Amino acid sequence: MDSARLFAMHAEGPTLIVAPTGPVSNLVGYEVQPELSQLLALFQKEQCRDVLVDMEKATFFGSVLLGALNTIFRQVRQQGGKLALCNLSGVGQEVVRVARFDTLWLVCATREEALQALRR
Amino acid sequence: MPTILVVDDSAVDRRLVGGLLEKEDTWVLHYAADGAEAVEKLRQAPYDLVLTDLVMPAMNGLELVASIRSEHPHVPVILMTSKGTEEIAVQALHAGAASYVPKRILAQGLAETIRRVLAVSTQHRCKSRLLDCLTENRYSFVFGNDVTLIESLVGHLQESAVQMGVCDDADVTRIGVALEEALINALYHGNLQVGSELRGEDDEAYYALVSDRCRTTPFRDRKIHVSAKLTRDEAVFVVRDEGTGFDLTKLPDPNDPSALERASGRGLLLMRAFMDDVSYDPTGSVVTLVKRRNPDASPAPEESS
Repeated sequence: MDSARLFAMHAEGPTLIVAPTGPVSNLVGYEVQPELSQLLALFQKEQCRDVLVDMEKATFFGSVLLGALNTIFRQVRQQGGKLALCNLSGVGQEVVRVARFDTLWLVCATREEALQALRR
Repeated sequence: MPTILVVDDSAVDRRLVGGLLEKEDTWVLHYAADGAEAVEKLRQAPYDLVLTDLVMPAMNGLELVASIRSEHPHVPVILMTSKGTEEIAVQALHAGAASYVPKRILAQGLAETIRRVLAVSTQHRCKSRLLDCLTENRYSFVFGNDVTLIESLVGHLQESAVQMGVCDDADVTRIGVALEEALINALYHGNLQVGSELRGEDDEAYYALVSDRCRTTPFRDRKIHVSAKLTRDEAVFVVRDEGTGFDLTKLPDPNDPSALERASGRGLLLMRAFMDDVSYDPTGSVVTLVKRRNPDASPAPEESS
């Protein structure tokens, strides 16, 4: 049963598409953790290579989501894949840039661009 | 004397409304034949209320409500509805119309509805003008380790910062992110003394420890103290926890590439990026965050009036 509330997720070929369903406040950290486990289990089960996170609805977020994305990134990297983010808000781009994760993750404007970047 | 703009494409209905409202000596009436003409008149002169039909050529009542909400948000709009316009009336009410009166009972209900809406609007406008004169706002909160209060507190302080003209729409989100980081630090790392080393390595253990300490003394009895002073020029927020403090010098250097993937210090990095000034007292239990008004943003109310 899919009990995910914070993240919608489905596999598309070798890519696991993850979409936060709204802003991810630091205050829901304890809810992020079980959904993160669910997400990583789906990544393994579907034998995905990459993860694309569509941030369209996550208009703001802080260190908790950054931490969760970094956990995903480490698992993806371990399996030779890439993590891409798309549709970041202005403040969302700043958050990623300030934490310098834009040096580790692919940051793309749209979902199409992100899928293309992952295929390269 | 309240000035009312009556908008209706039917000359007969305009006359009917005029006849009903002219009995009120204190109301000044103006007329427009459709939404487009009404928009023009609203741009040329101030009105206290708009009374409009829904089905009109050029611009209908729903489009007119949207335009007024955007250009003159303080001007209330009353709809005159007739049979068959119920659906569009519901949409207009959702879009911000203040009230409606069915055309078939205009004689009985129109004047009273206008009086009621004008009274509320006048009160609202006076309050808004009074708040424009506010020069300083101070708050002080003390609360336990209740994560659910943090969201409300952050929202409250964001609203106050907007009201004081300290920030624009983008900055208000930045203030929210920074305050949330400071408060979460005070709660988890300060009062509950749960280090961030576990985070990212074993999130389950991290939150299990948080949950455990919320029930254990001395952690559970500690409070978070928040004070805020907002003026037209800056917002100063002070967050204090009752933990044992921490050594700021032990935080990883944000410029060290090897620290990039470590969880600790990320919140502080965001606080520093989104506030103009962030400082800790020597114990590490008190953080002061300052956001100064962006001089390029819209002027503070007393400057613009």
